[in-house]
Amino acid sequence: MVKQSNAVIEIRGLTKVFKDFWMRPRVTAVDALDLEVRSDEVFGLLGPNGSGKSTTIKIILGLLFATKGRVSVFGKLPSDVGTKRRIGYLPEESYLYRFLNARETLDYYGRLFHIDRKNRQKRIDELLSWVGLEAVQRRPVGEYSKGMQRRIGLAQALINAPDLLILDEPTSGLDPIGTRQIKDLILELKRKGTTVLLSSHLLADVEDVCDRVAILYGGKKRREGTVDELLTVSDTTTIETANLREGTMAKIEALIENEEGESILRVDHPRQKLESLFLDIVHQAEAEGAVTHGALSSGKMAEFLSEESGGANEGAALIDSLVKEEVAKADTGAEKKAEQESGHEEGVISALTGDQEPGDGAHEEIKEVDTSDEASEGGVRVRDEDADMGVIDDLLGGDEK
Amino acid sequence: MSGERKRVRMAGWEMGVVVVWLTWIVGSWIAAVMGIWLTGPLVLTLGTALGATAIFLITRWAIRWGGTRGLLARYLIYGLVSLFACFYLLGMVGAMMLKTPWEVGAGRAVIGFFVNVWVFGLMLALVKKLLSYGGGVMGVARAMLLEAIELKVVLGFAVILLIGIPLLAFVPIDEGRLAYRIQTFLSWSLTLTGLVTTTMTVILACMSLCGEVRDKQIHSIAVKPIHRSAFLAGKWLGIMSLNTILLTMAGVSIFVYTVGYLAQLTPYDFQDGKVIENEVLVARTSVKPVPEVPLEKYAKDELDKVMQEDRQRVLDRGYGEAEHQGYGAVGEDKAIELGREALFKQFLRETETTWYLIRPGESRRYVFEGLGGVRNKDEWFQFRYQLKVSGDRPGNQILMGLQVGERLASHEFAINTAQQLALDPNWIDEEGKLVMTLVNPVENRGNTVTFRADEGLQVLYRVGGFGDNLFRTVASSWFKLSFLAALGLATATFLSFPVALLFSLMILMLSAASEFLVSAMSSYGRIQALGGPTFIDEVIRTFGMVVGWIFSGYAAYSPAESLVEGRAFTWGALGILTLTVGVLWTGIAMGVGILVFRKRELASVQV
Repeated sequence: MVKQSNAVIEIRGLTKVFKDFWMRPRVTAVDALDLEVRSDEVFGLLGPNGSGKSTTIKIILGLLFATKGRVSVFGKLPSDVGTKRRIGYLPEESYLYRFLNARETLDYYGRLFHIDRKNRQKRIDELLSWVGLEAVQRRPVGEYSKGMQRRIGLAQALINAPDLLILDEPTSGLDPIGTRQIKDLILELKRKGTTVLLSSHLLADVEDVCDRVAILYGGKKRREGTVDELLTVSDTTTIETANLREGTMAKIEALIENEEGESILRVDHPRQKLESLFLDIVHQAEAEGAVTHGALSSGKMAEFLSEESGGANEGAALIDSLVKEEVAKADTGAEKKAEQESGHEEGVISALTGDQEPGDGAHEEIKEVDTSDEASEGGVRVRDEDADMGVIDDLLGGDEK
Repeated sequence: MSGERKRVRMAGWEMGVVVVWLTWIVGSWIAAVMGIWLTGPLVLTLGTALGATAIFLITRWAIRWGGTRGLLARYLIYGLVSLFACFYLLGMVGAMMLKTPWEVGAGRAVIGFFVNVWVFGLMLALVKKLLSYGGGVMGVARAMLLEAIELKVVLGFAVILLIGIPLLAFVPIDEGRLAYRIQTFLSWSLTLTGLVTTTMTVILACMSLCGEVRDKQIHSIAVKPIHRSAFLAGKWLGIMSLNTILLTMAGVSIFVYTVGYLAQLTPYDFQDGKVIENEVLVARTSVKPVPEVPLEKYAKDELDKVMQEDRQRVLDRGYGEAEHQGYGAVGEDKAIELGREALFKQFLRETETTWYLIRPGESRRYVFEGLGGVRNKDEWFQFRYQLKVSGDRPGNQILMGLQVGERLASHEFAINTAQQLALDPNWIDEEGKLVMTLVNPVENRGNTVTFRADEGLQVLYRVGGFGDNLFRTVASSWFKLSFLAALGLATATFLSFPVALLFSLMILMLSAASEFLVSAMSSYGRIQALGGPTFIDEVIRTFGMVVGWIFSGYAAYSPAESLVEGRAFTWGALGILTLTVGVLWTGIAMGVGILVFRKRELASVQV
């Protein structure tokens, strides 16, 4: 009997070993994992490919069975059918019936939850409108684009107004607007008291919305805590002040007070990016020789791709030298054009953040959109930091990865 | 609600063609009223070409229009347009070309096909609507039904059935007796229905579940609050919904084309008409003659006589049997036991053969009991025989005497082929017995007559009509299909599609051939000349016998064969088939499927 607690998901000593036909252990996908997802929180599950995230989620959902350890969801075993009424699940890909249209799909899943017809139709209308598929609701799902399928997949995960929403790579295949919607949805659901378990490769997504995260590697938990706890660098201090005149940066607190009449606004530990933390943990695990059955990259470019000109390339080199002069002539114009294009791209990115005019963005630094509670209410905090991949994740969505 | 519902219009030139065609028709009518008949090859060809083009355009428009509407509206419009197109084209083409019975038949078959498609569509819409009520199981069943009609392989099977039955009915298969044509139609259409529904059910059951596991749709379903058993039940219900539609279609088509069309054609002669009435479109039961003294008693008396007079013969036979059956050296008691057993079987066989045998100059009395109902109803009944003649065969027939009470008649009995004679109900006595003496006259020198022991001597009489017999036949198919659907689903719970399909088909073949398997296996490895049975032979024989016995219920009845021969497939037989195949076997297959499915990890290994 699983003990009842306030944790929505409770995992103790979970081990999952996949065996071959002869029942010989082949892969240990999850190894003695302890995890607790509490009520009303957004919990992120991070890890490189093959770290055991999906396996853990599938065990929580009862699609796989644990080899060892205990898993409880709302205090019940994962196989408990009654508990599934409270769960919504978006798989890593939207596995839907290709022959059903969007409306029939949602109706089908609604019936599995025993939602009465009237209520079901109302929810379907609302969800179709929310995911933006109202106009194409009669078209078979098989004819949808990947993003549209993702949207209908998300709608089916919400048809039962779940208390626990499990999202496996939720922004995969979505455009920037869809990605934004997902993040807003997660925050909105959290506000309403829904517990969300999120697994994602897109670290910016996790950083933006998760209260707590756990980072897995080789089936084991490497780190767990709130995003702040994990990202705060405790052995360094930063001072944040209002805008200073040139030269005063070199002077410390006394000088600021004496010469500028300004006081220190905030003294804090600097935060690193989740991406850096994630990579640090993975590299550290690799350096320790931790076993993983997932992807392992040497970081080196394939030789055939980075090969310098050899005997076979002599012809190409000759052609290069012959056209060099022509290229040199054209360089000036091309550089100008490249500069213009680069400026244009930055402008587009800025425009997509919604805070800058496209024209103004060409000579400005890329800004990070903060989706903390403060930001979600309309406030945007701007930091003087280098451009990071998280922002680009936001802007371009999973397809661009 | 209807975000994508668009207005579908014809292009200008398409409208033009339709208008010209309608004008052509109206013009023809006006001309006809005025007494001018627009005839001649050129006029008719032009008219037909114009009509065909216009109908094609209207049909295309209807399909496009239907695509934006619900299933019911879609099939209504398809059906109406198809019917209209058929009648029109048939009228035009028929006026010019359809001359021979084959051409006329083919034309009618086309109409029959479209009527079938239309009714199929309507039934589909109706069942789809019915399945839209209720909870998860019904939801799964509805999705299964929709998946089935989307699958090309299933659609192909359905079309084969919908085309095949009208084609078999309308295209003249036999130019001879109408009774043969009806029987051929019944036999072929039932075989076609059985083949199509059986194959489709197994493929659909395996393909659907294996596909959902392979393509991972099951991930989104197994996490919903529906028991895996309910999910499987929903799948089964969906497949059986489709089967119900197809079997209803097939059953109604067969009935309508048989009773409403074929039976209305002019019979070859009076006798042909009587055969159709009394031997084909009827449900009859049969009784075999009952020996006045049980044949077992004759055999036992003979055995006792041998035991008293020639005990050594029993012993010798016993030792021989012991060696034959692989017992090796046995004691005297065992030898006696084996010898008695073997001799009893031999005497019984001989007695039975003798009882069905009439030598020249001899006669034999056969009593058929339980015919009181036939006498009371005052209905003619049939005496069915199948005999062979040993000795100097005179030809295809042999003259024999037939005596009932005071009445004596002579009749040329056909040799080797099963024949039926219509008999007067007054020949049955008040006790409901028909006492018939068959005489092999002395004139048939050297010609001994032997009737087949199983079905060589029978009396057949009506117990019901063709319609209810057909209903029971179709119902029996439904229960067999219910087992196959459960079997396909059960195998798909733990095997991949091709393996599950092969496994299910193997079980199906074992079931269909179970009777043959039992008889073949009973003597497997028993040929003494080859060294007798080895241990492996015994294992194979036992396994084959057990498998044959397990599946023997499937092929125990042949409803289709009975229907063709005008014999009743009784409610009792249907009941037994329902309980064994429909309930027990289906239940076991579903039970195994549920057990495996509940224990199975539905997600694949991705680490």
